[in-house]
Amino acid sequence: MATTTTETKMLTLCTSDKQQFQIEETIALQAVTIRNMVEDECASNVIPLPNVNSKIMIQIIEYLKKHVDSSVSKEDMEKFDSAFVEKKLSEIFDIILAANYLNIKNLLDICCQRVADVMKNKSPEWVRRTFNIVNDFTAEEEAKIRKEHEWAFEGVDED
Amino acid sequence: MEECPDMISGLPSEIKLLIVSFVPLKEAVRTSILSTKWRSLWAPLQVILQLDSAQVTSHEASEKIKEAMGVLLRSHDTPQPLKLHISSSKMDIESSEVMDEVFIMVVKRVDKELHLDFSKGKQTMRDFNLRTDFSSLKSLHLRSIAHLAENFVSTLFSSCRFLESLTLEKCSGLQDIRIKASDCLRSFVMVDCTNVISISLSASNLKSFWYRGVLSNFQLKNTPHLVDMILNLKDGSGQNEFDVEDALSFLDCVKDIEILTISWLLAS
Repeated sequence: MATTTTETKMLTLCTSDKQQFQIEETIALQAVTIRNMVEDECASNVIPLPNVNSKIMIQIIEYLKKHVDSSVSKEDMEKFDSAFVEKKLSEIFDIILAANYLNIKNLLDICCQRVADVMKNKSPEWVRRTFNIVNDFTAEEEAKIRKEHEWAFEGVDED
Repeated sequence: MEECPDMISGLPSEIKLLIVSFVPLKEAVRTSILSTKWRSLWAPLQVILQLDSAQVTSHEASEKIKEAMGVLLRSHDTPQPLKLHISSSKMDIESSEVMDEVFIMVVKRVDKELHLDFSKGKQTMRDFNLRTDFSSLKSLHLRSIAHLAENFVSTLFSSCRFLESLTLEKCSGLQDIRIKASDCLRSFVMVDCTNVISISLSASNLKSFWYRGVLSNFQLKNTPHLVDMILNLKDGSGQNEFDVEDALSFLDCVKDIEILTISWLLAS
């Protein structure tokens, strides 16, 4: 333990495709999963993250680096967040899974909000087409659900 | 078009629920029709009341419901929408059949929305009383209150101190509505409540008032901020009598409104 307090402590993260990322510990510890691993001392200097690939890791580090900076104003942070989620949906889903695994709550929230914004004010048919959801109900089953929640399905435009 | 798999349905349920929690309650409920995977998100919390009219009073029934709702409302921190399905089984002595009565309640906690749907039951719980603390609610939607106690809405409403939006839909049991709202109420919607005779509303910050149904006696008091009013009187005057004085008092309360839409007024 030769580290002095002035020296920035670094952590190495190892992704599923065996890429290594050296980042400052303070940045990495925003991810609760990593913090727990460090606190429990179950990881040495290299932290294995088998559920995250390097492509997603690069983006998550970009997010964490911004959010560790306490000098950024709330407004700028919101701007950063809304620009950050301007990605293809497939990428957003990958980030959601990684954020869930790494336990980065705010990142998970902004990505889920982004998906929700796509669904907002849209008919179920539109949502199915956009997300490639296969309707596996029979016509009778579908009618039954519509009946059960009649109030929610009244006045929906087909679009 | 790019062939991409259905990634959203494959997400863990808690994430799907988190996504759903970011859309308005009505749309959130609509996701139950997307596919079986989405429907299972809405697995309701079931409460079955054994209502044997000889032994169990409606008071006990409402205690049970209160308890169930308490469980539901206490878990405030989780953002997910929840559905509570309350049904009561009762033996009909003549036909010895079990009759199911159901009412459904849906809560969404991020925006503090509550939807109560009584349309499935036969609603014999006349003295049904909800005295739960709803002070955190912002939006309340009541549907199909038929034979419930007349004071139900007022009682429920009085416990919603911070309510911003109230919707009453198909509540045929309502005749006289008297609501004195807090400063929070912005929006009042009442549609297809066929037996309504008079509506008395006092809400100092009310901005919009939407009404559809029979012509009834509107009394809007203390509504200086009301700017948007829609009256769709498609069901004519119903059983109600409407004299000149009522008309004048009504005109007096709408005199400051910016956008007033009245339709069907002259239809028979």
